[in-house]
Amino acid sequence: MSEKAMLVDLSKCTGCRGCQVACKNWNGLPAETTVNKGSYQNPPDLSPSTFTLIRFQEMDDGKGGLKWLFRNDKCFHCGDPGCLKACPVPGCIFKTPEGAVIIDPDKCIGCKYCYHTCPFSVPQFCSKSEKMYKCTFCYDRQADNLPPACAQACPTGTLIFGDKADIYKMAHKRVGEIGGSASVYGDQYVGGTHVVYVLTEPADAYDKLPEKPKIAGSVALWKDVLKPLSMVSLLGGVGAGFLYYIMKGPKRPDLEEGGDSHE
Amino acid sequence: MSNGAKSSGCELIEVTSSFERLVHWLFAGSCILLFISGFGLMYHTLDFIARLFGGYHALKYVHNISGLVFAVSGFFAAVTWFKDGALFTADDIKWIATGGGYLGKKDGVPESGRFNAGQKIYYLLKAATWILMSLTGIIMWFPFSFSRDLVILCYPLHVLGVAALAGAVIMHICLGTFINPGTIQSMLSGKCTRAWAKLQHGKWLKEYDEKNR
Repeated sequence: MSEKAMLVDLSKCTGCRGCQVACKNWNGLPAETTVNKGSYQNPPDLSPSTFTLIRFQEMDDGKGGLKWLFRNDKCFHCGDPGCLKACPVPGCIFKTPEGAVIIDPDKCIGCKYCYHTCPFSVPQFCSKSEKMYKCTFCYDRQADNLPPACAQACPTGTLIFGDKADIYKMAHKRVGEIGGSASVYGDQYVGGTHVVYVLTEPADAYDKLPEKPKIAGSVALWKDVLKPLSMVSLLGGVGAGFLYYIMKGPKRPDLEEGGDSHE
Repeated sequence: MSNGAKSSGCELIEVTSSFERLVHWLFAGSCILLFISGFGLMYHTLDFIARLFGGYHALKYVHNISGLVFAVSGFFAAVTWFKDGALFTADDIKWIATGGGYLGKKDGVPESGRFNAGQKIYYLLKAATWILMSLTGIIMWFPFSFSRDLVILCYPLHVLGVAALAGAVIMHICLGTFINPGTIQSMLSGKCTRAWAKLQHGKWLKEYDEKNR
């Protein structure tokens, strides 16, 4: 199967939240009891039972009024996922050939490493099951040649699912049509994400959207430099101890001499 | 200086207290468990370690709980051996310059007190990494209570501590066992032979004899 991707064309989003509901429906996720804090946004954030949501944001339109920014937020399914780099359990976080990045809850030990190492802080911890959850890119639906539930439900054509190469092309074509401050977001970051935005505003205008997402330098230092160095240190210690013993031998006290002279 | 009763190199004298031995083995035991479980959590290829402990979930708890023992016993270790380990003398500088007799010539190595300069360096390394590993470990355990920047800084710092410690701990074990026969008895029965004390901690033996004359 070829690599897949999803276009999120924010110029077409009306904030209907069909994607949110379809996601809950397909994945069997319960609704959350939330509190109205004076915003249309509900639930307030991603959670172990909310894999995708619309972020509602009011923005100064520069003419003394306000305009809505809607953003469908979920896992970006990075080409080079920070969560996967950090996960200590083999096979717990894995990539499918189509590009989906999956957390297997059965293998998750709840170490929470994937939360902060994700450039978007997407994985969510469930304190009841002590495991992390996030969008699966509906890889179970993909296996049956169905688009992810959110894309299936989207009535405006904001969410389009298809082959990665086609989706990337569509995104750039659409940005050319819109012009102005519109841009493609995702294909140039973290190994090329499998969810790409057409943003109508500069990236920094959107809440909780990193301007230039990347795997943090400290995470690379941790896994690519210090991890092998710790093994070198361990084996170096063993080697040095053994070499010293066979080359110079042990330092034995002389029990016969009454402990008064030893040289 | 040696009279009849003390003339035998085989005579045993007490060199560590029972409290010291308890602190040492709590600290050492937790440290070894942390190393084994930590390497099991760091290297996917070492997944036999997880199987040994009953899976990755169990391995996480082994690491966390022995981490607590490490943090508490490390405090007592740092306090108990502060006077022996943290204060350097002119003789210690000379000891380091001569490689303690381990590296280069064996002549001109000054007699050691209760800790030789190498052990003092090991004390300082353990004290520094005790603080580093405990602090970064707690932050990694509760990542939602701290900022993202701090947490992702702790991941490399924690492994930097491993890199600094792993070789040193292995050397400590080698030096305390087969390279220096008779040494581990000091941490098991707490007793050493006069001959061992004379060879390894001559200055300390003299002070011991002064006190027990």
